[in-house]
Amino acid sequence: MGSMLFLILGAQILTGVMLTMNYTADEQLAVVSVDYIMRDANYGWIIRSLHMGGASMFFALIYMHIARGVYFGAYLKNTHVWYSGLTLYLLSMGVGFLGYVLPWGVMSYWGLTVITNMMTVIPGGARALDWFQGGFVISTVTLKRVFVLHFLLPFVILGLSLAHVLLLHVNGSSNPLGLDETNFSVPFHPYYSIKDLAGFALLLAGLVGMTFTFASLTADPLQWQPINKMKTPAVIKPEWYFLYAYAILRSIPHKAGGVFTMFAAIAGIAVFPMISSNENFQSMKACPPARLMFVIWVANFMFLTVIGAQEPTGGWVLAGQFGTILHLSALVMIPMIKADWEFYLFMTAQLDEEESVVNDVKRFLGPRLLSN
Amino acid sequence: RDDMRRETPILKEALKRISRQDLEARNFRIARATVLYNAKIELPREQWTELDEDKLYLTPHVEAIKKELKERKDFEKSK
Repeated sequence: MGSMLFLILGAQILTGVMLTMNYTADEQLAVVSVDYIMRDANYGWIIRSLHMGGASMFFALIYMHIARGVYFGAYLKNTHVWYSGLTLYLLSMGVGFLGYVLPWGVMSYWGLTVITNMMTVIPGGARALDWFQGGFVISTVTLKRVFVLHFLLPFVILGLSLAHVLLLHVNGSSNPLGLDETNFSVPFHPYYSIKDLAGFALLLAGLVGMTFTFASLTADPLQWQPINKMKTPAVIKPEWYFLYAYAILRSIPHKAGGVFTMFAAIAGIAVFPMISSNENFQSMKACPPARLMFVIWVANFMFLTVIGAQEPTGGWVLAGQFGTILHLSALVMIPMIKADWEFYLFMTAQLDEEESVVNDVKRFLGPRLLSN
Repeated sequence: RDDMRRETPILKEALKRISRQDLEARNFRIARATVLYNAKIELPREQWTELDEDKLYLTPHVEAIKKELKERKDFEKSK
């Protein structure tokens, strides 16, 4: 899955550079330039659709990659890989958000307004916001710097990805059973080269299929409407890969509380190595109760994604709050359940040993005690 | 249970202290588990190790090593 992520990153950088050749970061010209790419530039519609679909694929793969890491306890093998991966995820979220702003549709502008205003919850945040915007309001200046950041950060992600892989090779890859298999490793070629090629084929089939059939599958219809800065849309929502965080943000009635809870939920996987350092078993293969909790966590993640797309009214608010509590508590409960299960397994062994010692003592001393 | 322990420096040290017989049996079980897992085959029921039959061959060594490390650490602190 890591190799598939590398492939998608490469594809995004390549298509992104090609889009840059025709895009103009200006309030008046951004929509015109995107329209030019879609209608007039040679195969521009393919490049743009690949870039849009590629972003969705990238995040889908990231979430599967993280879930695989949690399930097989990869955070226990090498914590540096885990934390570099978390940094990569946060940077990718930034890049994805910045990229969504560039077409300058209704959702682009209002999404930028919502997310950048989160800065105001920290002390000095209002000044920081003006500094980021390049003024007191969002304007062409803001769009230009968003474009520059969206262009530069993927190369930072590329460099950090290489570091991520180098750190991985310090200890080597883990395995699904979480066993000590240093004596049983297989060569990368042909086992994993062919497996990775199969993954690439599947990924490219999905990406190309999406590009040529349902290119706008994940797009919001409001993106095709011109911006009206005087009229806030009834529903502001980000792309699907941010919806779970958006649901958590909206579930807390307090602004700062919502922002901090959202960041805690996003970066919460950082706690896994901290609270799991004494675990004996790496993979959830050895712990059925933790597997159940994991499935609930993943299902809740999907549930939060659905909630994030709804209007925050009625039962959806309560559902969002419930989902938030479940998401945050699962981050702590999964390692705790694993630790409890191990303790139970090894305690049973100790009890068995103690019982067998007691039985031995009874057998040896019994007749003497009875006779005395 | 001791077969499932993850690789740590303490485990590596414990593996140096167990008998050759135990080490070879462990390696066989791990290799078998890996091959069967990849082929998605389960062991026949009669070959399963029951909880009361499971002898902890590594845990005593792991506990002893932890104790030794603690003693060394306390000694270094008291210097």
